[in-house]
Amino acid sequence: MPIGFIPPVVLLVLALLIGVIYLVSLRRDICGLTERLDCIEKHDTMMRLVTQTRDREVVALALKINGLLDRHQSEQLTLRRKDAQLRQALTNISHDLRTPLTSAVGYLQLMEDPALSEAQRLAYATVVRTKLDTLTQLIDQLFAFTQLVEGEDAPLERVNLASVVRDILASYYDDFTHAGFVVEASISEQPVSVIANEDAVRRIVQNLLGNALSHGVEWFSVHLEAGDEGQPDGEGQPTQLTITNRLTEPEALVIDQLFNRFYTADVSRTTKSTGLGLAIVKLLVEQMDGSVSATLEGNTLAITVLFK
Amino acid sequence: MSEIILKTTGLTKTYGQQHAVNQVNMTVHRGDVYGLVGQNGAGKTTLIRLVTGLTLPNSGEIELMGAHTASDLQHVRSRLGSIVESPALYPNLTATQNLETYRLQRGILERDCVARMLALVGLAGAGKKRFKDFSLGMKQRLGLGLALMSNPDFLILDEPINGLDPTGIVEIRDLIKRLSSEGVTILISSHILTELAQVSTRYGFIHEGKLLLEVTDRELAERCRRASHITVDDAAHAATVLEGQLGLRDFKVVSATEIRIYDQALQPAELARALFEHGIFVSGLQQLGDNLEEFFTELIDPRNHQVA
Amino acid sequence: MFNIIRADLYRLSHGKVIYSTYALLFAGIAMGALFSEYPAPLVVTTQITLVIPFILAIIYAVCAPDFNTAAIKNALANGSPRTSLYAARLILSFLLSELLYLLGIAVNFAAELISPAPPEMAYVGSSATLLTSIATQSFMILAMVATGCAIIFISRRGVVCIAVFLALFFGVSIALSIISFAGVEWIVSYDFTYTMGRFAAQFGDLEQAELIRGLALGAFYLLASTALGVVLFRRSEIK
Repeated sequence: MPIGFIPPVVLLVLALLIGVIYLVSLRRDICGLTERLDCIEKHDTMMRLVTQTRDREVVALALKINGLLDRHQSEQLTLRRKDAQLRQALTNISHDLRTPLTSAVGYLQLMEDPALSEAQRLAYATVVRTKLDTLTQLIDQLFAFTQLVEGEDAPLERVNLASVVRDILASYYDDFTHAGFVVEASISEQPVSVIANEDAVRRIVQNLLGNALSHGVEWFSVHLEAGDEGQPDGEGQPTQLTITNRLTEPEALVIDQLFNRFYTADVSRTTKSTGLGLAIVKLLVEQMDGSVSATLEGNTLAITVLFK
Repeated sequence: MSEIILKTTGLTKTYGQQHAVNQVNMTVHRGDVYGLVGQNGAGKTTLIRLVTGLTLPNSGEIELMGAHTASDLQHVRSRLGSIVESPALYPNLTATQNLETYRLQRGILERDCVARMLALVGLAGAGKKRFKDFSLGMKQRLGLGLALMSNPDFLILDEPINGLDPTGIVEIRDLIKRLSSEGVTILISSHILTELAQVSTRYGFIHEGKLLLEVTDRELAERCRRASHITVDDAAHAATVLEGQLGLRDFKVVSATEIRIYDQALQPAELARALFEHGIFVSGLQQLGDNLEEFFTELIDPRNHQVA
Repeated sequence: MFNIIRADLYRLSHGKVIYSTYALLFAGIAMGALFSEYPAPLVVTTQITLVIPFILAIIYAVCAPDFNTAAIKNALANGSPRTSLYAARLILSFLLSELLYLLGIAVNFAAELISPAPPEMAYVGSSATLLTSIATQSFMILAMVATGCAIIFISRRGVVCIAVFLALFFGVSIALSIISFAGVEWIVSYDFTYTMGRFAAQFGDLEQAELIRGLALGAFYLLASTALGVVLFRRSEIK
């Protein structure tokens, strides 16, 4: 065999060898990926795909799959957390419902004492009635919330926000003065008109004021600013309702969780809220194409509702 | 039933005449933060080396995430992340280069993995520093970063807070808590009980190669409660006196002649006197420790050696 | 296994050891070419002993750091199979050593162009012989690399390995050549280094039997060391 052939032959053999090795390792890599996916499927694991070769296409594929796995895992985590929250909320709710009931039963038992005076009996009866009213309120809220989540959109019409707010403020007036609040209100005498559902608006304002009453201290303010429709081709300013109040425990508040349906600022359950109030507000507002947000400055909480 | 991540049966390793690990039966459940407690030289590191495959046992079995045989174990170890003894990396390479070497070796595809890991362990600025110039604390962190790089399901840390300053200790503690909440099972060995107590959900006490006791954190809290331990003739009678006459509720009848009283309302001396006044003769009175260190010292004390 | 090789290449290229190795070899070969009396193509192949320290340096750079710093536990605890680690490092060490050797020859040819040897010293063999010579020497290099890796993986200590390696490939040479004066000249043919040198300088003059004996010796070193290395490493305890 002519000598000249040897170098090219050697090179050819080497090239073939390299080619074969490459193909085989590629196949093994793909097998490895499948095996790993198998393992990931079977076990609850944090593993991701790794490769032996660096073939661009295989790597791209594996990276995509890893991305999917990441997403799946974070979804699972969120699910687990929501589940835990739900369970916690259910426990809270049952506790909240049990407390006024137990109290009412206690008072009823007291009322069975024949030696009781008529006035006393009446007093107890009033207490029982109040407890049961609270109970009804809580259950209503719960029911309303589930309804809202599932329900259809309520009918929209023109509503005079200013008069609604004034109305509800007036009805709460006694409670506020009783609790020693200083109330600041700036609501225009002119009608402030929004496209909304009147019931929903009432409930929103009621919830917000109710919150201020039970979680605030010293003072709160209600500010209603009428928006304008703006030019036909431009954007108008939305109508803005802001309720600001001083908090008792500002540090305990986690602002992003505020509208979360199961969030309550005190985990020790000493007050009677179910955490649903603000969540209901959010749902209602969003159903009417508005938005609600909250800011915390120092120990002042401001909740702003924007109406369309 | 929680999945079992690690189970050793009769695991033994001898060096010459000495049993470094002696018939250890240990179980780590999924989601645990398992604190392996022992003095220096008790066998913690040897046990960890057996689990990670650096050493082969003389007898006994290891079952890791369902794998029994040597080849299965080796496969399943890719789901393991560990720091054994002190972190060992290449001294002349920088932190980034070190991690990159291992990223390539493990076939991890995500290129930002190294940067993410450095940020996770708080070494984001130290990427260009050579490993030999690292302080002990930084070395620990880098070791941890390396262990976490392949998304382990089971993290084994051998004395992780060794050499860390107080800030570092808190950071590692927070990291461990976070990892645990994401579902990673963690095994930490340490001789610093107070630190382990902050994070552990299960404890294994090892002494002279033997696993003396394995308890959950709740069981441990039970055992550690400060209590007065009294020996009487008739425990049942004494119990009625304790409850009826002295109004103590929180106690446990340990045997026919022994009672452990957790209620600290009465000082031991007063307790003895009060019992005597009610006709109970107290033949023995002992104050039990309330903290981990005392518990541990008593556990390993050869005088009252109890086999778990 | 590819991953381990890739990672090692990354580690080496950032460690700067390999560059200096190559630089030194080029310098040495070039100088040897310029000043030696032998025809150019043969300089490297005869001065094979020049290459040995560099091979040692390569093996050491590839295999030893993991053991010196105990970093090997990172790979093992993460489930890398011991056999794969061994094989990957063996293959990489061989490839780098072979590269070094071939580059040395190439440099040598280049140096020949600068200062050609006198015509009476011109190379007389055919290219076929040259190629076969290179091939057989490569085989011996493989055997040497395998032995070096085995030494490191068995002892798992860095510095001791250097001594053992040198003893094996130089010390034995010296010892055997001393003994050969005592009337047992044939014993020299069982010396590895000597055989490797023989495959170069007088390749054309080699007898069939000697060639086969030399290759068998190489094969023995290769298989024995690898077998021993793998088995002992698999059962060993990592500190």
